[in-house]
Amino acid sequence: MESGGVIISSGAEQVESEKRSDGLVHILALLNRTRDWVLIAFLLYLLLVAVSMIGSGFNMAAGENAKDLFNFARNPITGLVIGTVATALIQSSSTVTSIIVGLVAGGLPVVIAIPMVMGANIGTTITNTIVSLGHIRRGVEFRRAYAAATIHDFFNLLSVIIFLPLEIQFGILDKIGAYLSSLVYGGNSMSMKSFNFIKPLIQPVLKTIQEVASGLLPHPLNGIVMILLGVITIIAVITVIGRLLKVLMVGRVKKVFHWAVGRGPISGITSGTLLTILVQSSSTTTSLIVPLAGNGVFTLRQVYPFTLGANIGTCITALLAATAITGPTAGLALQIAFVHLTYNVLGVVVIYSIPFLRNIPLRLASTLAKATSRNKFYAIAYIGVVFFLAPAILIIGSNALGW
Amino acid sequence: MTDKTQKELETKIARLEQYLVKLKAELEKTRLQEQHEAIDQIDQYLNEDDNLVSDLEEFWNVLVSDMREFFDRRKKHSQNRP
Repeated sequence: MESGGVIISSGAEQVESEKRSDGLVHILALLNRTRDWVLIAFLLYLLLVAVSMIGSGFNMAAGENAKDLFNFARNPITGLVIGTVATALIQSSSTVTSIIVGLVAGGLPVVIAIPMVMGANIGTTITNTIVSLGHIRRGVEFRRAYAAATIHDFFNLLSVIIFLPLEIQFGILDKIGAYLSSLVYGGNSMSMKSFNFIKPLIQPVLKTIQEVASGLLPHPLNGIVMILLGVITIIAVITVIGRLLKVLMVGRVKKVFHWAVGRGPISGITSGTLLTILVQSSSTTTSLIVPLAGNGVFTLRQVYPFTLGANIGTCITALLAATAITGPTAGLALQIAFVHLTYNVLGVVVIYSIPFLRNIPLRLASTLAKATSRNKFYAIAYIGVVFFLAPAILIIGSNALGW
Repeated sequence: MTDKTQKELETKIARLEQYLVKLKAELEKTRLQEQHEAIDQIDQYLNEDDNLVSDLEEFWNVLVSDMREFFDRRKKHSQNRP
């Protein structure tokens, strides 16, 4: 009887100890999550400071002449190529558009910045194309994965082909962006300007950095160092935020995905947008669907709207970055962020709602994927032509035409 | 064709069509189930964009071996020529 009692007692103790250790694990997980969220909040703050640093750096280094520094990119094709190549190298359109917002605050004219933003859309597509190349040894799987990746490329290329000439001719995006920005930064007393709570958070830190830079370095080196520090900080911050959010948001990502399944293209676009906002990276979202399409679970038509949503979702970072800018260029910084959003929303609305246009990326992606699965050299030729050769030819050609 | 045979055929077609609708619904259900199961495994794909170097290496290896095969074939072909 006594030994039975001991067994029961030790069993109860074991259950109690397991409960305690479960509770401890739960508390530790909660603490880790809280730490990560606090870190994300701090990194977002750093992002805002970094964007402001670029604007201030240009003002310090070039002052009123900052605009002249960007004359080399007055040709819209050059701007487009700069945006494409910079994004392809940095592998993040959010980073490049945030830097562009900072540059606009520093004096980059919005007209020059618009093609750069369009280029950022093209440059970001290289990431999921490279991801699809990892499936190269599995024939059918590679064909499906490659088509799912390049459909994003073809959509963004088509979008530029439609909207860049319209922008050069009529300045549609420039006007819409200016109008939306005026709603926020308008001269009326009801404008959002008076509610900007970011300014008091950013200004003290920015002023300290300016003073330190001016104290340590001569003019214009102080401004140049601030610009470089701003750019490096944006790249680092967005990379770290992306990594943290992937871990923290995995549960929500699944929920959004589950919700969208079987509901049609509008839900696909919405879920692509939401997922990109959650993980703060269109590259992550569009790369995520490559293996899902590769293993045949999702068809090309099903992943297509999802990738379009990623284009819209990625605009949130530039909008956030624009809130950091204060002073006379604040409206312009917000204008370019709104241009980015308008361009991506209009692209989806125009191309996806017209069946003829909607089918162009589908057909091109399928055809290229079939050709590439038969001959791997097409993949190299495609990347070489779209990301390097065509931009070089376009720049040379447009300069020769005196644009 | 008699009226009876025609009616019998029409009934058969209607039954087949009903069966087809049922099969299509079943197929859709299976597909949706597969998609939900794949979404549950999504954790393993979330870091796809962090493995770009290994993806490029994989592609490069395949490309190099394809190139070797291509040039070997050309070499053999030119050697076999009289």
